[in-house]
Amino acid sequence: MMKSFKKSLALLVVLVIISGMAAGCTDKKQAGSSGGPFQFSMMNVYYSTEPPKADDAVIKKIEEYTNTKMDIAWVPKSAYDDKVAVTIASGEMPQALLVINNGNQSIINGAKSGMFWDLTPYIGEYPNLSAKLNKNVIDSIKIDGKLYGIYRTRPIARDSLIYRKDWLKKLGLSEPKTIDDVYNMIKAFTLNDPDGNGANDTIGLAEMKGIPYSVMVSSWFGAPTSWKEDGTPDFMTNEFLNMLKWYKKLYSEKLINQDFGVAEEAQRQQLFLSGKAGAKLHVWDALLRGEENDLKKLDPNAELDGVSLIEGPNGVNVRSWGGYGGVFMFSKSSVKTEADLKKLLGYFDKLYDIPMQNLFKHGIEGVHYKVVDQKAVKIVDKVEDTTFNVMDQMYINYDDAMLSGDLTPAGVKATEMMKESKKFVVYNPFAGLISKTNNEKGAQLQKIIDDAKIKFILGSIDEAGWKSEIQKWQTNGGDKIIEEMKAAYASRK
Amino acid sequence: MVQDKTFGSRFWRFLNAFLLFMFALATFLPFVYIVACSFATQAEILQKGFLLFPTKFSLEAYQYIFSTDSLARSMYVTIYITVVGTVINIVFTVLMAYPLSHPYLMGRKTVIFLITFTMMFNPGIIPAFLVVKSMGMLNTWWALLIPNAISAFNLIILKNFFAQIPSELKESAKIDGANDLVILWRVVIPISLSAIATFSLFYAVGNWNSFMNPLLYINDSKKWPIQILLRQIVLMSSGGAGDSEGVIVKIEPQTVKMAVVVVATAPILIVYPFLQKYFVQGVMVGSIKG
Repeated sequence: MMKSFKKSLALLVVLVIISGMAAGCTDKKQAGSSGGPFQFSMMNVYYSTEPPKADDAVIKKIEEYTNTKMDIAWVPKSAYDDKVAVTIASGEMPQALLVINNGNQSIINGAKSGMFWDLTPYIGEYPNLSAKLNKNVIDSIKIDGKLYGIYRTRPIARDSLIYRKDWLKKLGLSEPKTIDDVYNMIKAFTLNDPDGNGANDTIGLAEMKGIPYSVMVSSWFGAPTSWKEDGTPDFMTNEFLNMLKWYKKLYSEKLINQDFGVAEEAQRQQLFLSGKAGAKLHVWDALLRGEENDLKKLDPNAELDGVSLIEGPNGVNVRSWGGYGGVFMFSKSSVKTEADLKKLLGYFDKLYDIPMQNLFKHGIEGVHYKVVDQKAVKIVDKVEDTTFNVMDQMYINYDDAMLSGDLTPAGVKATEMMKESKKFVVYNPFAGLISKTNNEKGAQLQKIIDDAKIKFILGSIDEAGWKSEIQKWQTNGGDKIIEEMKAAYASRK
Repeated sequence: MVQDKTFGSRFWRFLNAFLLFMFALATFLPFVYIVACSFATQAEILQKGFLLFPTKFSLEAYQYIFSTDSLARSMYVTIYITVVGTVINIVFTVLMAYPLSHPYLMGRKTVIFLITFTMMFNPGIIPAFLVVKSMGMLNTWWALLIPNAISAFNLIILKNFFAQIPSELKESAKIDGANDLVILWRVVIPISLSAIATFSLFYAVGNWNSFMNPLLYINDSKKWPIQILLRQIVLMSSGGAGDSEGVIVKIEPQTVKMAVVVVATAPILIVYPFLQKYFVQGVMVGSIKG
């Protein structure tokens, strides 16, 4: 009787001890040796299903070129903001921390209280950093007038109306140049049977819930990007209302998918890729990501094209995207000396060198691409997801990298147009400014406007109703936001 | 049981059964939807929007999920944490609840007060993190097993359960020469199996779903349980990446999201029926005569 009890107890104890031994392994980090490669720790994000491997070939190349040894903690995007918050609060910060949400209150407070190094006095010593960082973007990420991080360059002028070029040609139309041209194209795509199957089953424009890219259209009409210098938010302008009226027209004439108010992005994409829709408001990147190939599987005659410079009542205006995605910040508690900080900045400066830019944009020569005629031509179909994540998350800028030699004509145009559209970009003067009320209530106030937009397009409220919704936004806190933003703008000058 | 043959009572029984059946169907349908979607092809889902039976059976979503070995590895981690964690949970909870259930225990009131105190006042993420860090449990699985080893709520309920076991049972065992440990093992636990099974399930589900603690305490991605990876897949496939960061992510199919939900909940669903007999079992089966 006692024996079986003792036996089970012993078994239990053994199980717990074994589990303890198995669980207790931690890797001891190697102490940095002086005179060898510069060792530092980084926290970075991944969007792929799996984190990048520690021995990823691209990481090795970076370390070789910059003479560094990096200890990167890869955190999934779905948990990134939480992890950053805990990391900051716990005090165990990596030396280079990628901050994606740099408008976050705790980051701002941390910077103001001296948690991060102020880079303003050091930037001048680095040729690439001081020359290549864009002044507008720097202004938008400064906190209290000081620069606390190195931003990762992302395209500024990305918006594009992507459309079926083969349909356009079939219907005898030419590339739209004005807003009316766009309307006519959408109308023709809906009513004139562009796919030639005899049925009236096509839609001119595919949209999705929230109509996030409608701001592209409001730019065509001349609305500002988010804010005007005098403190008017974009949705309070007449130009914005004109954009809403344009959408309303499309909706009432059934030129846009009638369920757009609840359609997910995946559904919109499916409408477009299954040949049911002729155009979508998206980004030039869509032409660089093989969507045309996907379409060709269904319809070998399919051709895609895009247009971003549309002339409206105020000329050609292109919305600005912010120009950056994520900022690397350096904590004082882990970067202990100025010398270490300078070595870190030196690493980032080196990332601007052409060999590094090529690495980030194309991959490893001989493995992912080969050079033909001074351009990069892919050797592999697709770079592996985790390696691609390394390339996409570690780069600071690859504007000057080698051109791709194997782009489709649409792809070539996309690359050129993104550069060309920069000339017409309208910057958001209030980018990066903080308003206390916006942090507290911004999201719920925004919902008033978002809902009102859709209601107006669907016809449930009229212009007077739209104006009263704006009033609601103002009285519930919007006016305070405007005040605070104007004050912040004035003090930044 | 004599059943009324009148029309009224028959009609009522039929209506009753029908309503309950409809209700059960309504709760069952979402499950069927999710499982069906996970076995369908992406094209079909986008076409139909809602389907209960895929016309074209496909394993592509599951193939995608298990194409990476990190998912299989994290599945082992989760199973390990759930099994070992639940054992630790139950052992410690029982060992603590039993003595506390005796009214003559010295200092009992103070201990119970302290336990209830922890239930009402939560230290928050940061102090908890600092304690775990100072004990050297960071980046190990101990951080998932020890801090939450005993749930105060479960402890109190189990204590109350032990307290209402008639003391005659324990005294009769004592007369036979048993000490406290033997009484616990041979008398109290067999009677309390239904309660222990219930708590095991609660703990097991909690351990299975553990997400926040592994995220905070474990930095090595090879040691992560499956929920972290699954959440990444689901959020990425909802297009939740955010163009604002300048990352345009390829949208993963809807079917993958559904398959992820199935993978995350199926094991618990499978285990539950086996534990059910303990729930249904009566508390005391013919233990006291006379």
